[in-house]
Amino acid sequence: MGNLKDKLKNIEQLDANVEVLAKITSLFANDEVSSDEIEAILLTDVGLTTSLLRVANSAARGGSVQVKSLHDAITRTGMKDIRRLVVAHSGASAIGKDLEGYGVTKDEAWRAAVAGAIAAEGMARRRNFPDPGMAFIAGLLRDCGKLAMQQIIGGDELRRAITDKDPTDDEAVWEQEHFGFDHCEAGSELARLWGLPEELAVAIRDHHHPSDCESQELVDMVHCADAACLMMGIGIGLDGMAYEMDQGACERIQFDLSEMELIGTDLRAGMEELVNVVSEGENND
Amino acid sequence: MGVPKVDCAGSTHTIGIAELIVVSGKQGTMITHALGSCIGITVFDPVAGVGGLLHFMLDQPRSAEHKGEKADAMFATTGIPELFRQAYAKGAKKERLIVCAAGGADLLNPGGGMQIGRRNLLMMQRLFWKNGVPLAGESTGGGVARTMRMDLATGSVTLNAAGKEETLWEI
Repeated sequence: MGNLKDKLKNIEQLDANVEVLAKITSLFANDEVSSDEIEAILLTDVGLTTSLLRVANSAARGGSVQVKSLHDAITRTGMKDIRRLVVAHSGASAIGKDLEGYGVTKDEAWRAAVAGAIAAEGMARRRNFPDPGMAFIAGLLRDCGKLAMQQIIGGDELRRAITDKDPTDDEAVWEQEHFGFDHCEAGSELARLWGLPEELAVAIRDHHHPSDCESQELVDMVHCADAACLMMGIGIGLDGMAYEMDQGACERIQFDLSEMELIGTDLRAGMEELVNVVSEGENND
Repeated sequence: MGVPKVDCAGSTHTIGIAELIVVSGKQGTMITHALGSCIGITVFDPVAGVGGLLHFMLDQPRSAEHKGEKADAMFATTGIPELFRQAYAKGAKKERLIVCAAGGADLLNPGGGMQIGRRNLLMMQRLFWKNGVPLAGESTGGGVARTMRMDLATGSVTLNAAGKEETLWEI
């Protein structure tokens, strides 16, 4: 593991915006967060402020009067959606990147991140999990280690290796055997380097094999969200559907076909807004 | 997810998860990307010039929220009848319809797991068998994602699965 940590420290810095993500994560861990505190963080990022104003003034928000100040935009949008937006915006700068080594385009990698985030958050709400926002972030960042794998191994080399891989080998197991570490482990170490909470690092580390983890509910939800995305064809790369779903996780959190349906509804309601706002915001930065 | 998107020239219709579209006019293409466990179904009537594509996600509704829905493209039991209804409303005739299907892949879990792909496939087959609808082309099951495209001028249906192009149906 020391070896992997060194490698991660030496790779190109993934993005400074992760600092905003870490601040927001810790701030929202407290339910009493004020709009002034949020405003102070938002003001550090012009792209983020622009995206929030756009959301607040969108037809879906239903306001007849145009919102011009950040303060009013926060009030109209509401804390829950602001958190989603801020996390998505900050996360996009860090993880919304081309994963050519895995055969996943930048847009698809981002769609998969957002879909996993919405799915995990929805599951958390339905189970009265104490911090659904944490589930959103864990879902969003679950595969951040793929970016690190690509930078460490090299996109072309990774692509060649995955193309030769037996399609019936589980992705993370195969990475571990082939490279000595997998994207879950790499992502978990990245999360620690970024200063994100340990709970998130653990969820990222164990999201392919949640039964190996001691603190399980968050990990189980992220695992099921990840599998749900693949089943819906979101974020599928060269590896196809080479993913083994952990039956223990499904049983522990009672993940079933009804829930797949609810995830479909959650995505229908929330996915496009987040995907589009962030990509539009990027274009305007 | 939401409403199918049409490009600026109005020639490419992109159909997302749990969406369907039916058009007439024999112009442009329809495409649905990355069918995993979901299934894509195309219909084409060469005489009426009607083409449609459905991308459904699950075999049938189970939650209280969706039970009773009649036309939701999320499910085989509601989306498939709606696809045909819309095609007939635009002038298509059942006896002329060329129907193709792709998708229904599953995760690794052999013999276990949720088997959503397999369930989708069985429901689709059941509905088609019950209603006497033959498939002109089919590529289903396994563990690969498939992208499905239909040329509305000719009705030809092509697939891209794991980087390989395949023709599912052509004149």
